[in-house]
Parts: sequence; C-alpha cells; structure tokens
Amino acid sequence: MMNILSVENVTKRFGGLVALHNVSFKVRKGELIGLIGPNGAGKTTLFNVICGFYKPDTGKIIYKGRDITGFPPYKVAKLGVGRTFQIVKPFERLTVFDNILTWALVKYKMFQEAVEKAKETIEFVGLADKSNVPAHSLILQDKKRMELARVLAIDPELILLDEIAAGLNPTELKNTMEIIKRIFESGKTIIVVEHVMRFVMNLAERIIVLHHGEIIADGTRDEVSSDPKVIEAYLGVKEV
Amino acid sequence: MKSKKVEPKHLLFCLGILILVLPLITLILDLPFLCNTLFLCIIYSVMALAWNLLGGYGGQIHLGYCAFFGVGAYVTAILAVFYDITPWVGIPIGGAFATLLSIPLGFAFFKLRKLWFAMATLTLSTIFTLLFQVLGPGGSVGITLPFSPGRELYYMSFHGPWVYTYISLLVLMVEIVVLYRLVRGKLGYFLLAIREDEDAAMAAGINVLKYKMIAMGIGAFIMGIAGGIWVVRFRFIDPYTAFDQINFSLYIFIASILGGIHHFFGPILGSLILMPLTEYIRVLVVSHFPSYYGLHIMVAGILFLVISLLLPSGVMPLLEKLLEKSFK
Repeated sequence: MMNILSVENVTKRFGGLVALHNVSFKVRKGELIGLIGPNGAGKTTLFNVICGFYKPDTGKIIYKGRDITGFPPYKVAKLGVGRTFQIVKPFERLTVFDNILTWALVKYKMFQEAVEKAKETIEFVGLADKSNVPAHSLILQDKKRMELARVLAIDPELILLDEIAAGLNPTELKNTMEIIKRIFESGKTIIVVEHVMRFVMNLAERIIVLHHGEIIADGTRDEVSSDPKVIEAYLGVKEV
Repeated sequence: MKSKKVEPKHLLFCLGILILVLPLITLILDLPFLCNTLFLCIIYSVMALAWNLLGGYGGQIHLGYCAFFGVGAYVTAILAVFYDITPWVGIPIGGAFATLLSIPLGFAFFKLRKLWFAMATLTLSTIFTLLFQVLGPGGSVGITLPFSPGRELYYMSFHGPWVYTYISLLVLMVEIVVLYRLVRGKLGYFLLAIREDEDAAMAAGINVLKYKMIAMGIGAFIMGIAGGIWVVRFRFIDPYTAFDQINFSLYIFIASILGGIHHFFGPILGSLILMPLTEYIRVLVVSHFPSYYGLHIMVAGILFLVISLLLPSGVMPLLEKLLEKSFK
C-alpha cells in the first residue's frame, strides 16, 4: 500500500449548502501536502470527514487500505491519524505535561511508558520548561506547540494540521516550521491546511487547492501558483 | 531541644480517630441526634464521592442518581422479604442491578451534553417513582423489612444507627482507596480530558461514551449499595423515599459542589457540612415550628445558590489555604 490515504468522491452537505463536492485525491506515505483555499472552501470540513467528526454523504475514506468512512473519531485516531484543531483545544485546567500524558496514555498502556513518551515529546517541541504550567495560561504559540506535542504522543502515521500557523508572528512561524520539518523528517505523512502562503509554500512540495468544496488544482507549488484558476480563486496569491 | 511540629497529617489522623470513635460515643452517651446525623454524614460521603466521579472528574452533571439508589434499595428489600436472602448478600446484588440499569440509561442520555444532560437526568426521579408506584411490589405502600427476633444479624437489624454508621464507614474507606487509585490512573486522566474538551478527547483516541459509562457504572454500583444500607437502617422503603429527588439526587450534587467539585475529598467535606446543617435545621423546625417543615431544604437550596455564585470551587480551596497558613 503506497497510498496511506485515499479520499474518493467525497461529498458533504449541510442542509442546502454543499461543503465538499466530489473531492478525490491520494496521499502517498511520506508526503507533505499543503491544502489551501480561500475561507469557506471546505478545508476543515474535509479534515473533519477524514477524521470521523463528520460522515460524508457520498464517497469513501480509505486509510492504509482500510475503509474508515463513518468510523468515530476516536477509532480513526487509534488507527494512527492525528489531528490538530484550527482553534486550539487544550485541556485548560490540566498542566501542559498532563495534557500530553493524557494523549500518550491512549497509545501506551503502561503508565510509566506513557510518562516517558510525554517527557520525550515535551522536549521535542521545546515546552519542557513549562511542564507544570496550567494550559490555559500559555500564549497562543505554546498552545499550538502543545497541540503538536499531543498529536505526536499517540505516534500517528498520518498527521493533519489545521491552520497551525494562524495568529503567529514571523519568529513563531519560523519555530513552528522547524518543528514540523523535524516531524516530517522522522517519517510521518503530513497534510497541512494553511492560509499563510509563505508557510505552506516553503514547507510543502505538493499543493492541493480547494475552492467552494471542489479541488481546482493538485500539483507542485510551481504548477499551482501559476495556475490561472487558482489565481482567480484567490485574487492575488502572495508571491513566495 | 528539638520541637515537634504539628503537621496536617497529624490533624487528619486525629480526625480519623475521632470519626472512628464517635459512633460508639454517641451510643454510650445516648446522643440519638448526633448518632443519626453521623450516619447521614458518612452515607452521604459515600454517595457524593461516587457521584463526583462522573460529575467533578467527568464533567457530566447527572441529576438522577436517585434512580440507582432506589433500585439498590428495592432490590435489597425484595430479596430479603420475598426470597429470604440476607442483605449482606442482597446489598451488593442491589449495587449490581443499579450498574446494569446504568447501561441503558447511559446510551439514552450520554448523547446529550452539558445543560441538556442535566435537565434530562432530572426526570429520572419522577419516572422511577411513578414506575415503582404502579409496578413495584407493595406499590405506594412500599416494603417493610421483616422483624425476626433471633435472626437480627441475618436481616441486618441492629439496635442503633451506630452499627450502620460503622458499616457505611467501612464502605467509605474501601471506596476511597479504590476511587483514589482509579482517578490517579488512566481513567482519571481520560475523564478529565472528557470534562475539559470532548472533541479533543475524541481526537486523542478516547472513546468518550465508554469512559462516561464506566464512571457512571461505578457510581451507580456505590449508589445501589448506599440504597441497600439505607433500607436495612430504616427497615422500610417506598417509591417516594427510594427515588427522592432532593435527598438522593440533589443533596449529593450540592454536597459535592459545596466541598469542592474538583477535589477528590471535596464531596466528603461537603457532606460533613451539609448534613449536620440541614439535619439541625430540620429537627429544630420540627420541634419548634412544625408548620415550617421544609426550611432545611430551602437552606440547602440557598446554600447552593450562594456557592454557585460566590464560591464555585467550593470550600476545599479555602480549607487548604487555611491549613497552609496554620502550618507555615
């Protein structure tokens, strides 16, 4: 199975609104894909369908050769798909360490092993000095790093990052990009939803463009940034 | 000369000894009010602690735990009266029945979140009262446990409330040990995750429904046992007592919040405050102003309002600060 993920003819409607229309693409193991598109294009909806938070009206999600369409989110996560949320969802009243440990406990049955994994992960993202800080008191960048750490703690094979760069200043962006590059180098497959062009164009070699729920482009960053349909959809894609 | 410092654990030890010895003292000194109040303190501690597993740790405010209490009480009574089974065996069976009941109730209610969950569970008291009124053995009249001289131990019929207090204390201690270990482990972390953010918990791979069910199942078992102990203590049960919303759904909720919903021992502290207070007012009113019966319930309600508005984290944090200062 070279394709770790295959999205096949997925359509998702909310009442009269078609959020996703006949979306299909395949992801090979070890790819880093950028998923871009104007606001309301359906990017987060697509993530939600892949992860099981929504059930598609038609179509299938195939993960590692297995049809996971309609699986509940916890089952999809246990199969190895990790995701972060567009608006961060920390466990506010728990410490940073406990946030990560909770996720690690899903994968690592032995408590001590989970603790070790949490320690390892918190070091990896650079939050070790904030271990015992309650999550609600973190700045946005640290909350996002914690989201990343949590996802890593369940040892996913496929990681879906939903606008991880939103709201970050240039320095923070650079730091986050470094971490994601390191995650990618460790062998994970990553799909990044992004609005910040500089971020996604620097990171991803393959770009998929979503517009009004449909894929209008799927290729290398050069192909995509010179595609007239994409330019039209965006009305001014920022130059890299 | 080395001075011995008094530490919190010494205080706790003394408190523990006091609680262990108090029931006997009430027997020896013939203090019925204190004896009964102590029983209530302990049995409510048992119930509130059980409630808080789903409530404080899981973040689901279940206002229908009286269903589990009442089922446990009725099962114990039915087994004793109709099948001549000793409550020593009947009480745990009552707990088991309560847990079985929690399964369909969980599937029915857990798809609701927050406020709607609380409102929906509020209906359980009425539903079960009516159900047992119509279909329960003894109907509205209820069941009375047999009076069998010579077989008192078999039917758990003891002379004073103080024995039941010791039985409840034993249950409380086992409960504390078991629950403490559970909340420090995987179950505790997963419940907290569910409380803080269900979607993130799902994304982590936590089967939210499963863990809510586990928390409620454990709580139901303990409530069932409490119901069984109540029945053998008062020798009588009917649909109105068994499924009493105020006493067995709301008081345990109020006690937990009063003590501190986010602290392990909060519910116990809350029960130790709420029970003496309401009992004292109730007895006072009954003996001096009988037409004002119910004042104690009103006070509990006002207390709940005050805590919710002014002290939502309960009394425990205050106590902790006080102890910290005293032992500085």
